[in-house]
Amino acid sequence: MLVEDNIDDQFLAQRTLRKAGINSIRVAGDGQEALNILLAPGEPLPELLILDLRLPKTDGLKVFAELRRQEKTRALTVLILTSSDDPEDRETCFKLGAIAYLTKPLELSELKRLLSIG
Amino acid sequence: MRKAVIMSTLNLRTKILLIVLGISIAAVAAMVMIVNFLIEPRLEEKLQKRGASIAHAISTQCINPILTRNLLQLDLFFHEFDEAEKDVKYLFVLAPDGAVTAHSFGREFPVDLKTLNPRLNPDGLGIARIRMADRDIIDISVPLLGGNLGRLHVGMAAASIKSDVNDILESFGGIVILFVLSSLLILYSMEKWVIKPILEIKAVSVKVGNGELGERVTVRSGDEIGVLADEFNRMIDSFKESREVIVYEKKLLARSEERFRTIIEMSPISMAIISMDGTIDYINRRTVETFGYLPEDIRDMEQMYVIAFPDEAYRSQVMAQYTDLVEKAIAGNREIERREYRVTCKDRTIKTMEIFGVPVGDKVFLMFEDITERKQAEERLRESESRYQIFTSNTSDYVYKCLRRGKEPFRIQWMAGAIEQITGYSMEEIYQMGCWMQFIHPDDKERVTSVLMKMLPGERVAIEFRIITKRGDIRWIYESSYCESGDALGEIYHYGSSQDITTRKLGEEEIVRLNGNLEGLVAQRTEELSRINRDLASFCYAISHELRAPVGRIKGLSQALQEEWAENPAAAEYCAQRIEVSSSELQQVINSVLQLSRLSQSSFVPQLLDLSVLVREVTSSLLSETPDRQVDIIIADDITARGDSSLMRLCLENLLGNAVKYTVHQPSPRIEFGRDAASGAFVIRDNGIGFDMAHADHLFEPFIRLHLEEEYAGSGIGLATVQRVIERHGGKIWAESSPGHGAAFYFTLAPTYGDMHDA
Repeated sequence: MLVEDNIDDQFLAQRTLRKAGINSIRVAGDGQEALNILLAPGEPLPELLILDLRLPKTDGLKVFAELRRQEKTRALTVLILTSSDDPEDRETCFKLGAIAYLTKPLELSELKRLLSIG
Repeated sequence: MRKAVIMSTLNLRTKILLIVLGISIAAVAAMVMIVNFLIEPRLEEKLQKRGASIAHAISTQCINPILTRNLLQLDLFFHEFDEAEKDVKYLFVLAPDGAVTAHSFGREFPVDLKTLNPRLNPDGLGIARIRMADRDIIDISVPLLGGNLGRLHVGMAAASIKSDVNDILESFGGIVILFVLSSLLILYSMEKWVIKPILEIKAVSVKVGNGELGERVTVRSGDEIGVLADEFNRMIDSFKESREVIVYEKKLLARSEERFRTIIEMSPISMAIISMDGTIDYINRRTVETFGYLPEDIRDMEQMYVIAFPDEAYRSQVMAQYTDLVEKAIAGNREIERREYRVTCKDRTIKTMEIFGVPVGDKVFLMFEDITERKQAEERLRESESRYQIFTSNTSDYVYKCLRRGKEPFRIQWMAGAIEQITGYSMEEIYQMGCWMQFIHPDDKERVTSVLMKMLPGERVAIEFRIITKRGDIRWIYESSYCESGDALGEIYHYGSSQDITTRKLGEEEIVRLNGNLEGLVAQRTEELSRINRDLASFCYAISHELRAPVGRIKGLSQALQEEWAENPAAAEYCAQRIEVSSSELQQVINSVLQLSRLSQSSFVPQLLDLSVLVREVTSSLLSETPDRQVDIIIADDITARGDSSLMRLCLENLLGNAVKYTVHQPSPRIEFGRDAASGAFVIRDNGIGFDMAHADHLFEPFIRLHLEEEYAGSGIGLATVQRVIERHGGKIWAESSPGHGAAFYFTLAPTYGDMHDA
């Protein structure tokens, strides 16, 4: 699942994901939407959640925190993909258990490496 | 006078002798006188009377015989009578014819008797004196029968008188002899008991008078003379003693005089003894050494004046002064006042001497002190002092020395410097006041006094305090005081150096005040800067984020473009297009940033603005861009404020633009502008989509978007711009909203220009 609001970023991320072999990509345009989907009962969890921090309406970090709070999504594999590299955000994300904190654009090599680990 | 002198020079013996003699002679003479003038006449008178009475008696007896010519009887009678009466020497009757009628003479009748011429009394009695046979006889005659029968003569012998007188004389003589004898006896006694002792005393006293005190009077008797002699001897003894004492004391005196002489002679102080007549009796060795003059050179004052004071004018001055001082000294029985004189010595050098002295008896005792060196030292000191005074007067400080004795008030001993300039009081005034404590500010007085009183010798303190100058203004003084023990017990000296630090103090106070302000200002500014920094930080963060996004996209899209270029031209085309879009976005962001930053630098021209009018203008221009939109605009009238026209316009464009934008989905959009009664701020209300107040903190941050971009596009810096403008106007902006219920933006502008920020 990709949580991203900008169309170009969406395009680019999807492209890279496909190149890495992930074809089933669900896109949410904002945090609330993502939460609604993920927390919906019966909804299967994606293998990987790629989360942008700068989202309209709901802050990405808040979404992440909420995901970790909810039991269903606690074990979710989260990868942060964001425009700017903020050390504080980075720390918070890793505290919340993100597997990576990457800056856009998403590098294929980087993605591959992460996938091979996880 | 001469007699008296003679009398006094005769000795006692002679005196007494003379007296005795005198008395004797006087007695004898008296006796003789008495006899002659007293006794004899009386006796004679008596004899006469007797004779007269006899004559009378006999005369009666004669008459008969005569008449009867019984002459013989008469003779016989006469004869017997004559024999019987010793005193009667004769009796005879002389007849008137001169014949002798009868007589008592045995023999011949002396013829001379016939020629008697007696003196006759009125009663016929006749008295005559005759001399017969070496005897004085008084012939008394009486007339017989009235003289008819003649006269009866009775011859009374003066001899009896004489013998009586002789008897008296003899007795007198005896008495006189007795007298003389007794006198002689007395004389002898006196001689023995009085005169001789007295003479001896006299002799001894002569010797004593001559200074011989070895002799003693040898008189020994119990009477007054003896006592006198004893006392005399005692007196000699005491004289001797006294003389011995005197001799001894004279010796002592001589010795002490000798010593004194030596002292004077050897004294290191020049001394001279001058007589009243101007003779210089004596000058000691030191005087000679000091001046070079020998005693021969200055025998008297006149000589001395000439050579010691060659300058005539000065000489007369000195003479006058000296004479006057000596007179005063003698009159007041005190010493001659010290004075300085410039004396010319023998070698022509001039020495400054202090001359003083004292009149002693008929001499003047002078002393000279060479103060040449002292004078020179004084002169040097004076110079140094005046230099010092000048120096200290030049400064803006003053220095002083004052004395503290026990609990007494401080007393200034000495001061120098700019006292008058600083305090307004002259030095004399302060000396009179005692100390500057008098004009210390009452609030500081206690503190200063206690600090100074507590000081111990060796301590140094510095104190600041205020004084009230003579003019009445307050000056700050910085004083450094050093404490030192005084000469007597309980005495302490303070040495102080004071500085007028009023300007400094005022400056300090100003500085403190400014500092206080400054800190406030600094705090203010720091706060501002912090805020600015924070803003800047977040601004930078937002910017960087905002920049990175399109940049990242461009990068990614470019990569994708390259990858798709060969295989998928359509995809590549798409990428290229999207690159362009992102580039534009990037451009926009950069422009926005620049715009926002320029807001801080643009000029600010405050003027009175009619906001109502401005709002109307902006809204109409906004709506003219979207003619298909119907929006209700409600603008309160006559809302004015001071501000910069262009900035406010920009601000309102953003706020109103937002209001227009966010009401786009509203069926009946409404925008209001007016004044909020509660807060007094201006308010722009809309009934648009509103926002969640949870995000209110970030509302005015640049590039913060609360809404999806697709729905509500915006530069992201609209509200940031608004906030900046409001800030520059010295105002505040805040918003209230709830999702779906529109938003209200409140803002204030600074009431005065002073609160507006130029930058």
